[in-house]
Amino acid sequence: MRHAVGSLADWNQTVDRLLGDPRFGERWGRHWLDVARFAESDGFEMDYDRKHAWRYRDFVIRSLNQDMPFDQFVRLQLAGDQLKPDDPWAVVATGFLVAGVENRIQTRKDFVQQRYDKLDDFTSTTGTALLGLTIGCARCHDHKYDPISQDEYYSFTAAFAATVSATRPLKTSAGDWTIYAAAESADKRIMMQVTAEPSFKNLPSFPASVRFLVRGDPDDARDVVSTGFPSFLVGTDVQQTRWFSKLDGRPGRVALARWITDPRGGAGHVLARVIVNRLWHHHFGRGLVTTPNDFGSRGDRPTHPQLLDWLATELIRDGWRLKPIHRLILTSATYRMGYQLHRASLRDDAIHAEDSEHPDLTNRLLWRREPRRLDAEAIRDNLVSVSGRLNHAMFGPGTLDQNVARRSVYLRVKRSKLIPLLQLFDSPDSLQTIGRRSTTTTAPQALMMLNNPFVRDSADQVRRRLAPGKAERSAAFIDQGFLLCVGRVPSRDEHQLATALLAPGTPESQRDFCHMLLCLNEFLYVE
Amino acid sequence: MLRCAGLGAGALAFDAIQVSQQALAGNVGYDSEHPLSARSAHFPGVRSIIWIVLNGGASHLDTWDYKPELQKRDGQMLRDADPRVGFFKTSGKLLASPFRFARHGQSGTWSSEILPFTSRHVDDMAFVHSCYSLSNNHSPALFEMNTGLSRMGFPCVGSWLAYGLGTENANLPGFVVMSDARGRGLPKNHAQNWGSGFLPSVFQATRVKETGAPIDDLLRPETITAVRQRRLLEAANQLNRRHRQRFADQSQLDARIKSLELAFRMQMAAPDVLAVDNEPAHIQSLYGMEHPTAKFFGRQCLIARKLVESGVRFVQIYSGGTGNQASWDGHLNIDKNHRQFALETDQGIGALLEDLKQRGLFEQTLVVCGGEFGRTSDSQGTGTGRDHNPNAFTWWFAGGGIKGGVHVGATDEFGYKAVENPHHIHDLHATILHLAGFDHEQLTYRFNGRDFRLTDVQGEVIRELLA
Repeated sequence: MRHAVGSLADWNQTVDRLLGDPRFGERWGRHWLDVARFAESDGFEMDYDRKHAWRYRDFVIRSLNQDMPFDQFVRLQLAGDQLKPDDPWAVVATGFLVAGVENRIQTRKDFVQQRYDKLDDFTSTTGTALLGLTIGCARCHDHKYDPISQDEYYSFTAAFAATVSATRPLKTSAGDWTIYAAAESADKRIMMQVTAEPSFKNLPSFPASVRFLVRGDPDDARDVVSTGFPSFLVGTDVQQTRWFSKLDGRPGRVALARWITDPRGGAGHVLARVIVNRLWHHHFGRGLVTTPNDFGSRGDRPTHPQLLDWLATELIRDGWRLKPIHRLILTSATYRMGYQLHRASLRDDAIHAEDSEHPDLTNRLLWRREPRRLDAEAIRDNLVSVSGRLNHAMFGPGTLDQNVARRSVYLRVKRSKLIPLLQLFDSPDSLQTIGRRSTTTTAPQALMMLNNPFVRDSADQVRRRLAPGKAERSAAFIDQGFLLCVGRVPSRDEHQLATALLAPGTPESQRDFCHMLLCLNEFLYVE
Repeated sequence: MLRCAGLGAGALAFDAIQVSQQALAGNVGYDSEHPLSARSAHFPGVRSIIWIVLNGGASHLDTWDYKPELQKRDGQMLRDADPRVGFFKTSGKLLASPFRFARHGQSGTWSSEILPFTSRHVDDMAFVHSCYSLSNNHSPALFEMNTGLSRMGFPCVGSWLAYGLGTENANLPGFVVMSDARGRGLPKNHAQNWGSGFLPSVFQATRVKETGAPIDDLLRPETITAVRQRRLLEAANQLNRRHRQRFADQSQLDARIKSLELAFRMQMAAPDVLAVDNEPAHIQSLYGMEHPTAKFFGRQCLIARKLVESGVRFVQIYSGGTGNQASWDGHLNIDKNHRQFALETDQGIGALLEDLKQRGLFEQTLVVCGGEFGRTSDSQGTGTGRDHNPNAFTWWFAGGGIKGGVHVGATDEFGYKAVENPHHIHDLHATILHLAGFDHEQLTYRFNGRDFRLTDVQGEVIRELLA
């Protein structure tokens, strides 16, 4: 929908209002949940539910709404249980680490392998999600493209040597909670898990330490390694020991949390650059680095390197608060650019008559705003919203029932039962960290918009909202329908078309008119 | 470059490696606006693939890998039995197959009495007796079988092929999966088995269900006539085209307009392909649809034939459901379990091969049959069952590009371990891709900084299978 043309002051006011709206955290929280590969089940054979994992989702939404400084947001997700054991939200934050899949039916043959797979999930996700660093590529050999050795991979991994997932009770000022979060193995051992066969006795275990594995093979394990960070992300005059002081027996991930958020000598500046690029990516549909999860040599080069750097510097300078960065972006002239055709942007049509001669066909330099398809959650939320059912209740356990009128961010993410409507529109499978969703256009999406009971029901609801109680065929009905579903009144042509569709004058034709509005490109694409 | 004074030195180091070119989208003609459009493979290959999964881990020892020594030494101790091979603990005592074996065809292929229909085709089938996988555990092993890796998050074979080939018939999905025909549930891992991992989700399988509406949202609701829906669609089309004029260079909007049209056609065309009732009686009979046990899986085989005939690229059928005894997972009693599952599937599989031949589809279709692992030569539990064995199992291939009557590799004298020309799942995948016209090292997709492929960093085409 086109934004209203108004004064800059009005615009700034609108931006401030939206940044202060609780919906802000729901929308941007969902983006972070993609990065965190968040789901509420284990995956693998039985895909057991994680009944309490939703608290992490709530942590994300709350924190973004409160504009928690991003460095703190990151530290808590890596080590909140160690840094602030008395703060329930800090403990819940570590749900980030343990959001990945976990196989709880293991065998004597594969349980060590499964543990190293889990460690790899911690490491790869942390590297990719926070630093745009594909450290997971160095599990079996030195990274082929980026300066990360296999030794450095295992040193990084050692930060999680005894880290396990745990569902446990937690006393809080708000009452007794059960949480799903990270913890340190109490006996410093990792035990084989086999939930399906409780009769299995004397399960084997091994010390909770990380060994260097030749070619990533647990059957070729060498020395135990201690925590350390990739040397290319450590300042030249800096000793890594600075992040390890006063650990007092706490695990290496506490040092990891310090290093990764340290802009002077640690990885802090990269951390900042990666997050401001994510913001840019979601605001414009494309990041300044178009591969938000890969800032390495295999990723794309930044289109505007100085801008990226400046935004990162601003973020750090302003105390790591994200909302001011959002505000900077949203109030920029670039963000407020409208759509225009290629030729219109050029001074002389005669010279540049061919589109292919346009200097920036792909809009890398952001000289115009291109229409974008809404993402899966927004499409579903819009359906719920236009049908007048949207329940704004925030937080708490979710549901697998897509018909429940809450926003999609509160639908439960069960890995073996993903919500079809969301999946069809490219919501992620929550197995690996995702920085950029694909945007596909397929016939099954269209079949869903035509035949799915949830969509059809939405069309019925729209009709009821527009014409409560009586079947009328008026100009007002058409105008209201367009206003509600696509945010504008129809042109005269469109009005005629709609009138023809409504000609039978029956409730069915009204329903079909409303359903037709939901099938418009304008319903799925924002301008 | 991002060089900027006053920042952490580490940041500068990271800048220095920002030197790559624009990332390639991959080396196939994938286009997110037309993700399913038909694309060429690297070289000519079969048009379609049907993969029959003997879910739960079928025993090679009781089907295609006849071991006279095992038959002779029933009850004797298996030397060097490894307690880590199975999921439970095995007895170490050899368990002879309860089934009679006989030779078939000109190739003299040994097969078990429980496979009479399939055995008629042995001269057109090629067997790999030396298959192995790394996991002895259903869930990771199923992922390994489907994606090459025992971890989660990677695309399965069908998704890779749908990504590589698109779909030939726009009215049908490119990749279809059917799960246990008798309603005993989805295989372990559920729908995660046929996920597209990091590939766009459009490449995951479309499940054709055993009962009820075969595909979600495929059918127009009965309350709405085709005429009504057509009118609705026409109006949407006209409005969409008007909207489109304002964005003349935005082809994504075109793609979306086309998708609505396609959906309308799909709901007309697809139900016909999925219906078997209108098949002639002799065809229904061929697939065992009069047989009280064989008719369920037989129907799926018939649907598979109709799907590949209509241009679907990849069809995967799972025989067996969730629970151990509801699948080929014969821990308790191999005789009872395998007799049952062979009875359910053998006629349908034989009919499928027969039918593909008589329709001239055999040469352009690859049929693969195999599961996530084999079973142990020694018994477990009450002494009549077999445990998981990832070290030895048999897969067979038939159809386009396959040399019939061939036997590749071998297990040891008890069938406990693949010893001659062992082939990991990666090799089986490399061979499938080759037969479909792809160099498995070149079919790649870049995700989070790495060019992934189905065969990871391994895989060799099994040349002995090729015609």
